[in-house]
Amino acid sequence: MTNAATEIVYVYAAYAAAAIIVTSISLLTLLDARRQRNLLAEIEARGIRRRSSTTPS
Amino acid sequence: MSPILRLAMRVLTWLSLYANPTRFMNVSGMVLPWLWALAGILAVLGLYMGFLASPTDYQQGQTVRIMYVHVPAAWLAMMGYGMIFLSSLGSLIFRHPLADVSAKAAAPIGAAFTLQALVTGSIWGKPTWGTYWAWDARLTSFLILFFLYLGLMALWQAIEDQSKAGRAAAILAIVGSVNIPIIHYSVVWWNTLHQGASVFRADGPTIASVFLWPLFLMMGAFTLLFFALHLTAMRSEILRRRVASMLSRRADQAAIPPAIPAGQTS
Repeated sequence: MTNAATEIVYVYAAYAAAAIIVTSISLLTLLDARRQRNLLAEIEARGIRRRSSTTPS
Repeated sequence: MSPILRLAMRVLTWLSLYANPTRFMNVSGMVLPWLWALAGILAVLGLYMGFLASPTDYQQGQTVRIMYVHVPAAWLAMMGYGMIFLSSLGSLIFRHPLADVSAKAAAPIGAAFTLQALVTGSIWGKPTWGTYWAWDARLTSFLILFFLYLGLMALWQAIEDQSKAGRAAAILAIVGSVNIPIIHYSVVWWNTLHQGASVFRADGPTIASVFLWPLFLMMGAFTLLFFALHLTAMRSEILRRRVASMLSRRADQAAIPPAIPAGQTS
């Protein structure tokens, strides 16, 4: 391999690593956000309310 | 009143204004789409300039392009820890309701960018220094930063009571913050393989502007991405705590025997 070809392999390897890490942390964060939203909706559907949203009887 | 004190008072007033998690949820919900969009636009521009509109370096050749993903990650690894440090102070001193949430949410994101800086730095090291790794002061102190992030994440998971976990994590974060100036000045205090500061310098950057522009664009993109991820993670943590409190309240109500109406005997 020429010097320039060897160099570009290092560049692609670094960008691939960065892409994998950024995509992983973004996916984990967004999936957790969706899981928490769904969980809250499910609990509210079961009739469980927040203290602040209950009206005194 | 001195300008610094006035600025501190203004920041505290602003923070107390957004201390209410409900208000935070509303404001962050409006800001988030803009952050994602701006981060995407800057990343596209940065990648275009970094790959197509900037030359190779006369010494490093093509590998100079690794700088555009390495330096922003290193910057965010430090900024993320700085954010955890400030949040920890807010948690311990002011008992700010969102400080714990902010510190907990920032840890995995900071860890990810620290890992990115370590991996891309290591790949850059091979063609530049002839080795993927050396136990020099900058690399070692950065590895310690990564372990600190992992330690904070483990602490949050290990203690079930989140207020106790928050206090323990805040103390660890504040003690660990001594590593931040060590990282920054490691290239000055010790003889390291890693080069000295060339971007964040009192007398300005020493890099040619043709490399500096794509670097700043990528730093902007990564910084906005960090804030987008951090706000998203904070919102998830608020919802997680809301769900936990609703379930615990429900369990408490179920555990209390129904009141016996007056005049009746059991």
